[in-house]
Amino acid sequence: MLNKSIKELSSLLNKKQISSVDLVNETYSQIEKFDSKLHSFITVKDKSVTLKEAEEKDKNRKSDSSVVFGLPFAVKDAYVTKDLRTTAGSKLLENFNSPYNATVVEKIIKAGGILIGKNNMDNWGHGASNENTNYEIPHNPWDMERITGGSSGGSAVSVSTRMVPFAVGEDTGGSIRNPSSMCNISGLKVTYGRVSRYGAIAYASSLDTVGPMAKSVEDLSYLLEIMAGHDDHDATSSRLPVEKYSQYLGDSIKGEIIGLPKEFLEKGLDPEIKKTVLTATKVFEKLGAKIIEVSLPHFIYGISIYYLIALSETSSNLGRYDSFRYGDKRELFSNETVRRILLGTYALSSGYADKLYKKAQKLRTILIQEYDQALKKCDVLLSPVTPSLPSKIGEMISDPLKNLLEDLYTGTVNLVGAPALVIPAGFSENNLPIGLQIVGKKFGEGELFQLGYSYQQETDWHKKLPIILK
Amino acid sequence: MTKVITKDLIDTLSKLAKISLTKEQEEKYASEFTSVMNYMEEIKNLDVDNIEETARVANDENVLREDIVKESLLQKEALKNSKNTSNGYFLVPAIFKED
Repeated sequence: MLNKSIKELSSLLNKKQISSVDLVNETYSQIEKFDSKLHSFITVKDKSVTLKEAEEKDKNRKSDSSVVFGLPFAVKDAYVTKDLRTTAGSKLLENFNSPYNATVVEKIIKAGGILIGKNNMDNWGHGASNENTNYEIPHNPWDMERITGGSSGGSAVSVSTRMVPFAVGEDTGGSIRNPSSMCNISGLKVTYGRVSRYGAIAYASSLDTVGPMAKSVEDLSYLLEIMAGHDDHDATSSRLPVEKYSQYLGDSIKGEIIGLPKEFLEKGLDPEIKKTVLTATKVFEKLGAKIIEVSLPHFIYGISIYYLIALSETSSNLGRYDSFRYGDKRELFSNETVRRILLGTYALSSGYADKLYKKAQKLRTILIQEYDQALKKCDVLLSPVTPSLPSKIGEMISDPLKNLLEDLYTGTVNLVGAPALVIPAGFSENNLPIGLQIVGKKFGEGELFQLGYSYQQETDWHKKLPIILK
Repeated sequence: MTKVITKDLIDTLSKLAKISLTKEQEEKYASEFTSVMNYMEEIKNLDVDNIEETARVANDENVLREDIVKESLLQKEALKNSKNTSNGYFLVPAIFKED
């Protein structure tokens, strides 16, 4: 059942052909079957509690209930949840129980979603492989020896193995998009400010975004309608009205202009990923879109700019973990996190702040201008998601610079604040998923859904399941 | 030009960040730092004259709210994750020395 779309599940629940109790039972049976090997969850709620919630939902269902009413879901362990521990993937918060729910969690629960548990992640969002967790390292269901991508790796695995119909991820420099691509699911990094960050454990506050991860673009569009909107608790959350995103589905993309930045296909990109991106341009052309070449000259400096800013902000944000009010001692930060805090401290320290942090902020302005210029010539940009295929577990953790370079195509989008959709677009010769990224204009999520949905009507990559499910 | 990050610098940074490191960790971080910082040196010669800094990308300016008292966390809830409390306060090490 959990292979069905959110809309289909909601309709079957309305017709009483299935029940929320059935769905919750299936969720736990998938978790029991696969998660002892895959490790997509850090904490799972007690089944007796969620089954009781499901019974309530079945009893109180109305014809106008939200599409997620009675559906199980999971959230990345970066979101605080009341009475359910929140670790951020770190030993430092092993016993932390938040007194309140993050706004995004609260919104989905209010709409009728049933929270099942908290997904594995690179601690504090620090990583692109999910190997930097203090819990069990999650495995990619497409190849158990390989990484899931990160930092929202657990959420991607839970969705790709149909443990839950959807999950909430968090994206600071690619953390939703990279694992979505590596695990063959659809994921959305929203415009900065589209979804409230209240209750999201901060990595880098000017870059952090909250977004949905699901099986299809259609599902993402319904989820964003529920998750988006202004929140008094987050001054950066936008007051722009939330659109009816699902209405973009099915609109023709004839005449859409898609820009392909020439710098994206140059050095450092895996040839199979490059081929996949170029094949996707043909699909869009067939659907009536026009592909043009654009240029982002400063893109090649993106990683340096992104990391100087992200690490400066994280060194400041993680200063709050003093072990007095909550959490354990700072020596429990992992190697990767200590490295990032020290780098950020260095970039902000006197004598270096002008040369490093402030310079990066100025280059951020240049990048924003270049994206603006490019998006004047076209409607959206098409891009790879990661420069390489999922690596073998253990390869990346030993190479700090390689871990940073994984964010090449995704990190600059956070610097700009633009939205970006990731959709499955093919497989490598050894059957590893390859995703495609479409970057839009700020608050242009609707157009991304329109393009992504058209693509998924024309292709069936997003329907392919990992062999372990068969 | 290759810049080498010294153990002394790592020691200073770890003190600023309040994370105590072992000698082995200091050595390890010093060498890893060198490779990452040398990569980031690439921005050194870029021209950013007359460019404003970007610190935030949210569109709204001057987000204000009415100054009204609202319900908030109860003291018990706010303290529940602390290992050391006293009379409704967090207990922290003394900052000033007694004579």
